[in-house]
Amino acid sequence: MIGDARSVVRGTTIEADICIVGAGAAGITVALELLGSGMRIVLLEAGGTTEDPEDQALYEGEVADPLLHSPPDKYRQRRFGGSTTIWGGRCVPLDVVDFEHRPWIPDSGWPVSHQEVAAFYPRANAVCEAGDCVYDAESAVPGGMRSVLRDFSPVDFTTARIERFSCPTDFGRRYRDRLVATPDVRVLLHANCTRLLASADGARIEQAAVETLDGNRFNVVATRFILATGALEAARLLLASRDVHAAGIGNARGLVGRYYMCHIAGTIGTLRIDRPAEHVWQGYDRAEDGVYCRRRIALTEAAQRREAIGNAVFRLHHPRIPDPGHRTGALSAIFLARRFISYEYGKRLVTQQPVDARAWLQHVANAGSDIFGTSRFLWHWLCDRVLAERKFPTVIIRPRKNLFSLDFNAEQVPNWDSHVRLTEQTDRFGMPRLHIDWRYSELDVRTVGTAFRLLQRDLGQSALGELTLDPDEADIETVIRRDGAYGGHHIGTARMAHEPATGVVDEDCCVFGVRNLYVAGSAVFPTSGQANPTLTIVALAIRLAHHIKADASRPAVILRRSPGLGVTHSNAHVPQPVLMGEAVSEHSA
Amino acid sequence: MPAIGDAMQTVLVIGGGEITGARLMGALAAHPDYTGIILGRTISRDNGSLRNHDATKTADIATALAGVDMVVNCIAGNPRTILATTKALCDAARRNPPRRIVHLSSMTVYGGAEGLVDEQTRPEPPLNTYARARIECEDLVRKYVADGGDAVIVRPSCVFGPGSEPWASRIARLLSARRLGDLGSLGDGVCNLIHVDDLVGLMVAMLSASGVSGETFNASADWPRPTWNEFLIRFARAIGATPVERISARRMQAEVKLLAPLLRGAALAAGRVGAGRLVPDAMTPSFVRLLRQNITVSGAKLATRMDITHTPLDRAIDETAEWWRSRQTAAANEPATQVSRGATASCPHSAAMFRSVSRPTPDNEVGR
Repeated sequence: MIGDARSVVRGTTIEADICIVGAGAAGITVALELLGSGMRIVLLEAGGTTEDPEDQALYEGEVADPLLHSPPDKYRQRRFGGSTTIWGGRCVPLDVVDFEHRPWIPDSGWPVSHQEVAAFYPRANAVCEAGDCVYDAESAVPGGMRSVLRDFSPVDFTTARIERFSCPTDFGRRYRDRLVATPDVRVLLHANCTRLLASADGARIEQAAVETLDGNRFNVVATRFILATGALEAARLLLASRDVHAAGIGNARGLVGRYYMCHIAGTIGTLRIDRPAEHVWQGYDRAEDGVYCRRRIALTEAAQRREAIGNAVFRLHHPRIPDPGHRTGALSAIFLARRFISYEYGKRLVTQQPVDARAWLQHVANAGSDIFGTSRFLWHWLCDRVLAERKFPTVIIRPRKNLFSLDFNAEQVPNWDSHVRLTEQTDRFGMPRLHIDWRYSELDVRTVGTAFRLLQRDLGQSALGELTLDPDEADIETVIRRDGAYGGHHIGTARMAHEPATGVVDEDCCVFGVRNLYVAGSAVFPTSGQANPTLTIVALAIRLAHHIKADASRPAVILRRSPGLGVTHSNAHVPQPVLMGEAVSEHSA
Repeated sequence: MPAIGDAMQTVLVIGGGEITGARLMGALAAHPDYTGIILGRTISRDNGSLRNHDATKTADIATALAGVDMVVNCIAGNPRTILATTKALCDAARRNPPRRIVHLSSMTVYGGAEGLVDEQTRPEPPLNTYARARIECEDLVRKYVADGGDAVIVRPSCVFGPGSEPWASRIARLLSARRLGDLGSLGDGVCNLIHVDDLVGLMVAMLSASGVSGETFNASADWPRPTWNEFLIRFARAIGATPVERISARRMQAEVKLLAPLLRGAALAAGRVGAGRLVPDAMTPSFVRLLRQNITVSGAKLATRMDITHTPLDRAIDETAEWWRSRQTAAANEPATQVSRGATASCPHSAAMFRSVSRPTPDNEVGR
């Protein structure tokens, strides 16, 4: 059942077994996994079914260094489906080493093992529509996937690990029908959870305060609350709920919002391959189930240990688009069309220095002189990306001269100083806005730099080509600063730990000291690994749902209704619960 | 009722042209207690004993019932034929009652019902012409029982396996043409299947089962039900229709609303000149609706009453895929016009008989 919070009778208190705040990848997955459990679920979504500037404006906030981190209202979508409405679909599991305590990485180590999370990856793969849970290049495609670079046998890297791609699945659109069809779940759109109200002793959450942009207010009382709003908004809501917990819920040790991580990612260097073009494959293979798969050049665990650095992967990439020196028509066409590309996907096309007229003309000349290549690319993009339901994942363009750049995706290590906090500014609901102070560390720079150097060495020793930094890449840190925090990967603001001294949530994602409040999403990741977070978010959401089902089999607190009263139309301090679906007038979607 | 050790019993199979009937004939031929004869609309048995009998005519059925101990009614085709045949059978059987009629119905009688459905579940809209005909047939059979006859009703889910036209051949053709595949939310419905050989085994068992007269049984495999998406992807991989295509809702709408009417018209026109089989399959609204229907056909009642072993899904898919591939190979070696869609290399009865019954029409193609 899907309803609209604006139509709920003002002052109503809705009762449920589970209240999920946020209908993105995590929230929808938890709801789906709890279907049929007999629990009544209220799923609160702050936005509607489409992007709305008014809703989106509620995400606005401050960024300490706009060159390093995108504005908080970018890469996030406040609507049904959350940021899965714009994600790229890359699915990669975390590696075993990501879960370990690594002495050279302060605050590393998960309180759960890789095995415990990996058990949920197959199901997560299915939910993400990323096909079989097979991340090995030899097994993913019958006969094995094509080699990235023939005869390349690196010492410190492996090309056997792959990434798989979701459609990319918009969870809202994909799973809407299932949620509509079941009476167990009640989705409320336009329902902004503005505070979590704790019991007097602070040991449990009693209700979620919900407001709508048109001024409606009501509460949700539930046995359990699950915060599934993404790492930024989860920290914001915890910190802003200060009725009982003066520093914010779960923040007695000042850890909420700390250890904020993204990935260190971008495009780096020039790789010249001294082999025939057919010896190089930068593109995708398709698995039998139709899923696009791609090899990655992954730093081995042994190299990470030996060099005392974080995790990292590289991918062959076309030359950097803004530089017309690539002489590739299709790339220049993309550059010329960048104004029509969304902020999230066009960010790397924006140069910090203005593009001069000469470069413009060169791009125009590239597109014109390579008209067949440009047309072929546009046709492929129209058929395989724009019109396709399972979309071709990224721009793959064969460079003219066997000159590539490298896409890199590196772990950002936990860093206390990298944080988000509340500001004095508030949104329309009076909720404090976020200040994002994302910081990378020396170790992050060393991870990328060392990985780059090791790859240079492996390529050099194999005599297949040469990898160099570009002239404008004075050093690795310059490269990192140029691309900044990887957009959309918001991680670690409510980290998981064995004990409250080192984390916000326990192994079951339950907030320390608040026995009925859980956090679902990448906020709980203690480390970021090299992998894009969505698959692990979904796996952890499934794991959380399993935990809740098991936990719910124990005796639970029973909330009582006042005799004869279905709804309270008052500002009474103690709410009178209403059973789900009763006494409210709302549009059934 | 016949029992083990009785003399050979003769079983009249109505609708033996369909794969289920054809396989049943094979099973009866191999059975020590039964001998089967088939009755199609204009089809004859090899020994010529039942030439040109029309199963929709009471007089013809009455003739066919002479010397017959039991009847299995697995008539398929268009709703009118199904209804007329069942009515003729019941009428004829009243005059010359066989020991038992096993009436093959369909899960389509549940219409749009969702959730776990058992034999007591009432039909829910939408009910198309085919579903209404099936319900009416069941009513006729129940009335026959009320009048003193002995009959049992079996409601199979989608009959899958080598030779199955609607749920193996048609699906394989659509997958190969990339018109079916991973359907996203449109394929989230529960896939209720039963292997044709399991169904045949059940029908044979029903011939001699005691205490089942007047009863209705769902027949559906008891393994965890896949979604249609899961089934389609597995089947597509097994037949080599890879990479599996992701089909958008927009495309499915175009299939149903634009292409299906055109194909149905083309099939009718082509049928007049004997080229109906050359027209691609139409995906009708009822078929597409089924793929997203969250219906789980409960086989619990049957499981408590009969000892039925179901073919595992993987094995069913593998052997069906193998059959399909061999059929494709055979087709490649023959002129296209000689290959009947319903004909099966592994099923000697069906090759001749498929043409004897009406080809499933768009309305009845759910044919469950």
